[in-house]
Amino acid sequence: MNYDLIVVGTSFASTFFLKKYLEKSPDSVKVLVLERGKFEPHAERISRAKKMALGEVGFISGTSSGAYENNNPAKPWIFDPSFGGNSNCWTGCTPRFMPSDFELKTRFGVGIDWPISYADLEPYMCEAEEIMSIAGPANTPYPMSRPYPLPPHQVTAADKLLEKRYAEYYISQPTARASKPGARNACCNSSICHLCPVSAKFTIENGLHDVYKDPRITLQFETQVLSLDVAGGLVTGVNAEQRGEQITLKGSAVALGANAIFNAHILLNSGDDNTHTGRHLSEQVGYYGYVHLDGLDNVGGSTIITANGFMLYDLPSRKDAAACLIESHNDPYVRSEHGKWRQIMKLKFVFEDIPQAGNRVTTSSDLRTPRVEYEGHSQYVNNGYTLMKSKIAEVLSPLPVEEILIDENAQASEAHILGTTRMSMSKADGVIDKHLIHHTFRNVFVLGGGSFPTISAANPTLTLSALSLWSADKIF
Amino acid sequence: MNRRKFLKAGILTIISGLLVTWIVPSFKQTIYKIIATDCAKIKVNRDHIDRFIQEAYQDKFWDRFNTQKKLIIVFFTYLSFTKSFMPYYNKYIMYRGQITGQFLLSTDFFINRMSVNETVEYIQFYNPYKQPCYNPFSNLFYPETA
Repeated sequence: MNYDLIVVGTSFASTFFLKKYLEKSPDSVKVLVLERGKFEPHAERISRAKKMALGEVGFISGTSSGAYENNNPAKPWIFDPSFGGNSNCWTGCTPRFMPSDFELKTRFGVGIDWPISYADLEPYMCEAEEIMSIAGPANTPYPMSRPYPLPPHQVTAADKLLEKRYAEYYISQPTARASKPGARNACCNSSICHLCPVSAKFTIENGLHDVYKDPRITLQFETQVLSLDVAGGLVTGVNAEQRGEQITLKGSAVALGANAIFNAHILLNSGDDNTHTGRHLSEQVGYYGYVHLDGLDNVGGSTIITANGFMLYDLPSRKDAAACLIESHNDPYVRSEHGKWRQIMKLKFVFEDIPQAGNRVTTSSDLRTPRVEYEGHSQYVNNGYTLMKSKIAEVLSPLPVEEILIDENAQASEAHILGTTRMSMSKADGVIDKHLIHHTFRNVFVLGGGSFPTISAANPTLTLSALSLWSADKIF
Repeated sequence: MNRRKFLKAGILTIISGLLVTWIVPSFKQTIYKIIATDCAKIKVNRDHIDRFIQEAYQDKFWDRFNTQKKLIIVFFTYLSFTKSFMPYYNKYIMYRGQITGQFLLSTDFFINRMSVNETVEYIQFYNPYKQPCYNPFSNLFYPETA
């Protein structure tokens, strides 16, 4: 059988693309979706977690370790290879990228510009926010043509002081953790978002499972796509391993929505000779900080990350130093001092990086297993960290601060995988065009965070979901 | 290395090992000291600290602290004069907060709004997968902050 479309993967990128594609396609189309993992319902994951010792519970998902070779074990790349992908284990943070994130070269002289603008993508950001029932504030540092669907989460006592001082530059975090019951339960601040016990967080399972019930779709599990079948410059299908057997499936178009490691790997296995394919593997870099407060009990927040601060984001220094997005955390942490138990604020400082060509995905001796070579983040991040440390006392001056403790070591991972198949105007600068179509294989869409030419300090899911909607809407 | 040097080295190693065993407190002792010190001014039954530590072992909570973290915790707990002049001090403060916090989350202390007048009762080892929606600092526990 020849399918009209073969979609690889079932996470955000694939599912949002598929949703829009199905909306715009006739009843006669035939779509094949290939998922390398299985479907483990949320209820079963919860049941499994409850039976485990607390110290053993990590990400309740198919493990990503062992799925790829890693030259740098200190730098893990986290993903969930099962139905719904990373929607199962994400935290649900959905701040938008800033307009400047699309024009880093033009505005600051670093990185490269995106081939599309914030304005191009804005209607699709609204649509993605509607689909995910995002909770967020009325005033934001980025322009919005539509308000967030759900009211904002309640911020903490310390957040309120910063909100008062910085207005739209310090906001209740836009999030897919519901602020009131509706399509999902309301977040009750359990602080284990990778497996929300009350299903308050948007997942493919609880939000878009119906897409896969469309009669035009055939969904096959335990099928890992290894390469594309190429003939005469066009792709005619995919080669896959299905429960130990090698199979070839035919399709008129293919949408790769695995992730930025596996999308690149499939292309490299297919003879893609674009010099950028697999390169520029990147993600944000995060550091925790604790602020000891003088006499202020930091209580009252209604979700795990209550606020986002943009005070160190679009500074003129961004030409040399990475933008920093501040997160205010609200898990049940305490300060080990009598009478000051909650006179503390936990922050995370998240920095963008300039994708480095040397950080890359390559092939290995096993067709199923990509090799990741990651040398480290760039000096641009270190400059951003140094700048943040020099400015943080001033930034936090609206708070009654006793002491600020900033972690010297970055977190091992922000659980984002970005940049290996970047968008560009031409083949010389990237792998795919502005509609996410491969520059050489013109019937192949390469979806997801791998398409980002630069990566912003903001969480990528909202943007990559909007890109899938944009791509399908423009082409079909 | 001749035989005499080999014996000397062996004896020194054995003595050092014994000294470390006798002098350097165990991680378990250190946890107890941290919690007992941090909770000295609230009415905590000391047996409850032992119970907490035991239940935390059963729930493999201490596995979250690898050897490096454990060394930092032991070192700073017993050499507190080094304080912020030392590298890793910030991490120690974070880890200490996690230890005492986990203990107090396993009691009714935070539910009672951190009252120092009431005797703190141990409830059960805090496990968010078994006790969802329990963040005693959230809006659900402080509705007046809305």
